[in-house]
Amino acid sequence: MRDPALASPRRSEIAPVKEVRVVDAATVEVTLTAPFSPFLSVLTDRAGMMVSRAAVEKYGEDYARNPVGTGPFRFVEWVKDDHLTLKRFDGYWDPSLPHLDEIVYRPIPDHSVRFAAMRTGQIDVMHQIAPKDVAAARAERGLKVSEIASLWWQAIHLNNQVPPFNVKAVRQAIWYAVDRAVIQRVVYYGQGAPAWGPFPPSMWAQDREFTDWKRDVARAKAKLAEGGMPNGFSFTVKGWNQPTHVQELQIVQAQLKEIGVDMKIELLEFGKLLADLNSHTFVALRIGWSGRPDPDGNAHVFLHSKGGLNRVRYSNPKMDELLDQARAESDIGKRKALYVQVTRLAAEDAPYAWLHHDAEIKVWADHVKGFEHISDGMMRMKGVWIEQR
Amino acid sequence: MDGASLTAIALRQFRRSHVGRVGAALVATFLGLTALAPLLAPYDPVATDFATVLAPPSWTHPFGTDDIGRDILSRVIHGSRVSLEAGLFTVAVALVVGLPLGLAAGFVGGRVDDLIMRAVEVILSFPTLVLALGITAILGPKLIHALFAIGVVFVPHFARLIRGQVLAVKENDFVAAATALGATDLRVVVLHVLPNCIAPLLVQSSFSISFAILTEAALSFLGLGTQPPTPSWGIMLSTARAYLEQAPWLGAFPGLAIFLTVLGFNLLGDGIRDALDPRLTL
Amino acid sequence: MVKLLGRRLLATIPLLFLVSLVVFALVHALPGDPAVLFLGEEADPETLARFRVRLGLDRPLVAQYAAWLGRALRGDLGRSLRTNQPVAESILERLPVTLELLVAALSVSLAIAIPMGIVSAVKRNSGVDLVSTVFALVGFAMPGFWLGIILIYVFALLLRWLPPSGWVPLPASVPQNLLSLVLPAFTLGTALAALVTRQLRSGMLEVLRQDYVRTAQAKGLSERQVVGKHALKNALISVVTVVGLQLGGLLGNTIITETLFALPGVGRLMIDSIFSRDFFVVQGVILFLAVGYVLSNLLVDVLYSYLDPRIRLH
Repeated sequence: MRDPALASPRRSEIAPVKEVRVVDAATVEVTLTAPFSPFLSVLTDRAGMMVSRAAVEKYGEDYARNPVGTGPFRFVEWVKDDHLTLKRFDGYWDPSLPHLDEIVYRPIPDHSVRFAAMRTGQIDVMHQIAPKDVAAARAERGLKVSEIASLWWQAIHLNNQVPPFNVKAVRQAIWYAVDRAVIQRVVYYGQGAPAWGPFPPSMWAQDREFTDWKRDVARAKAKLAEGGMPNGFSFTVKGWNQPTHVQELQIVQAQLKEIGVDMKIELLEFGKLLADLNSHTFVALRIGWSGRPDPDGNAHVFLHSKGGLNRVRYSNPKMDELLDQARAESDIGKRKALYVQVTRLAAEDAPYAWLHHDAEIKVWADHVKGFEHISDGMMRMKGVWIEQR
Repeated sequence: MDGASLTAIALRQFRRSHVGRVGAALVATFLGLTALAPLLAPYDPVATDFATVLAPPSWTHPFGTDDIGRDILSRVIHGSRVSLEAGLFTVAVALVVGLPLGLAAGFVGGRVDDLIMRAVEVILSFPTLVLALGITAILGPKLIHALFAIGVVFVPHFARLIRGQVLAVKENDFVAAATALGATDLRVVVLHVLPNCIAPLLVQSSFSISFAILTEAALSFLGLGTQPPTPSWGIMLSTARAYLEQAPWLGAFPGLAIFLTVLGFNLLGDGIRDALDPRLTL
Repeated sequence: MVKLLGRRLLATIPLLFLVSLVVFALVHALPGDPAVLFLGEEADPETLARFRVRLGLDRPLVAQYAAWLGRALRGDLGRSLRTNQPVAESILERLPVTLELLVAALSVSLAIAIPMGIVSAVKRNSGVDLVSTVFALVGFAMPGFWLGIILIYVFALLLRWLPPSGWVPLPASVPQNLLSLVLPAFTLGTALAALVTRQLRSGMLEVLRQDYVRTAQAKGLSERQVVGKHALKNALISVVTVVGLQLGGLLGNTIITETLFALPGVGRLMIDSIFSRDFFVVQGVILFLAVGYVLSNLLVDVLYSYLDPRIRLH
């Protein structure tokens, strides 16, 4: 993972690893360069998924097409944009698992097609359902809907380096002009929770006492004037051309209009949106982050001046200090206090206009049993079985 | 027969034609909507009401509300203005470019005619929506770009039409005599070609306007024409698609509006064409 | 006929050249520096320069066009900026879906229009005639995407007889494939059916009025024989005419239908790549569709002259 030639996107997540020593067949000792509390959480996610050294050496760059791991299923084939097939691995260390013989993953980008496939029985488990369809899913016989807290946050990234958002007061104006409560109600049908920082309600790090996120038109206008734009201004936000996001952006557009700001919407396909985010080609860009179990994973990469995903180029030495301290500290109480300060500072500097924490919702057919729904959203099929009718 | 009695005959024929009358009525309604939109619409078409989102038709909102609480009736009424803009702008572009091209091709003839007709043929070699999409894709998704693209696609039809009229007039003995007597080309154009063009141009324009309205709606439906929050019938249908199960009324009214307006202009065009058809006179 | 086809094909080549020129000009008329557009404002000058060289943007326009055309003739339409997949490959992957949709739509429209057109001409001013006239007017003015939405609502959401959208490929399941084709085929075929009905009816009426038909009737041939032998063939000419004239509209409506029903065809590829700002794919698809359109028109022209002995195109 650390080999720069392979350019692993997980590299920054294991940066503090200094050396790894094998103690015996079942024990490994990892030495870190500095205390790093999130380490165990990092290992529960993608960075901790074991990769076969022999396979990497054999396939090199093509490893992604010929993956070898340590799970209960083995890779069979991947036809891009069509399907990915896994089959039961008989040599799994726990001989009683897995129960399933085969899993087929089908990417269906259109949410209504996906939901229709679920209802007609073409698929058994569904990831991501449009908020407006949840009620219909619950009413449907034969389907089970599971809604739990997630690790997600959705926000508008404001480019801190170019006008007009290089001025803090202007960013704060956006912060106060947006009505998160309305978005929660109208766009998300009450699912999930409004977001005022990178920590969703499911995280111990969330600052639950923080209230300075409610809509305040007067204050927003004052901030505009403070930022030198008393008559408002015009800008373009880039977003994903999905109906939910289009609706949300139109609501923000209407809300900003009230303070004299003219927001134009440019809709893009997701890959292009991501590419523009990564190349800093935006003034404002609305996108989500699926979240990590440890609060550090939701904050450090975005708010630290050297954060790997800090595309808005936000930089505040005080923030850097707080974040670095929080990841080195192992006492949860002390970490929470630090993250509360992080939340308040982030609201003050407003590099991102946080909007919403999604609910983590999965839909599966009644005959699918043993599915453990976990808030990071990943589908773990180890203990799943199909009940024969 | 002089112009006045010809017009009288045409009008009489038009009035006799059921098709033409229905078309005229629909178009008149449409134009009325565009002219009186601010008076007729009960709400501001972009005003949102987050407490009344996706509401079914009721007394306060006869057509219901959309996904961010805007009144659909008001948006349908104001949407007529976008469609009118589409129709007029595209035909204007087609005339501004096509008229001189057609005149040049017809009058000058020879190599110029060949060149212009070649260019026209090339544009006609593209399926219309494909070319319009291509132009919009390059210039960026905005209404004005979409309208410009549609206008470009119309140019061949108008150019050919004008050229045909010029050629027909050139064959006319009367004109040859006038030219021999020293009448300049400009006089010929103004006195003979243009008046003859009005009739077929009216027919062509009617069909072109209906096509422009339909195509603008299609481009907006695909997300490449009007952008939110502008109320256009096409963009309203695009939203309707996502909420078909929860709120079917979102799609009913804008679609009906497009249908009736397009039908109106089609029937009007048919009516005018029948009215001017010399075969039906006697 | 083959000779005619060959001759017409040769005559079409200059046109195809001009078409390719227009397509090339389209993408190269992009406002702004393509390198900056694709790589972003933050890219360093070195990366930008390398990108320009790689795409041949530093060479004179004429040389770029020649190179591009040369590659296109060999079937190389460039690569997607996003997935790096060859554009030609993407198009070929999706072509079967579009072709299946087109064939289905044509079948549906002719299946509706031919009987309706003939019957309404033969039984003038009857109930069928009224229905077909109304259908002809309405079907043409109806926006395809509205009709599609109505069909989805009634047949997929209310009655639950058919899937609302999505595509099941033929090899996976024939019955499901056909089911997923029904609504799109009707959506796409209705406008064409309306026009064909209208054209067929007036074509048949013309023919029925002509002398030789009356002579045949006088000779005692039954009405059905008259209609069948003489009128039908001439009426078919009008069908071919209409289909030929409407091919462009049909291709355009295919794009709309594929988007509405989420079908993974060539039309959807074009729309998706526009939203991805993947201009090489857009360019490749336009070229493909335009060339296909020109060749189809050619085919229709030749078919037309074959059917109508009075018109021999030189």
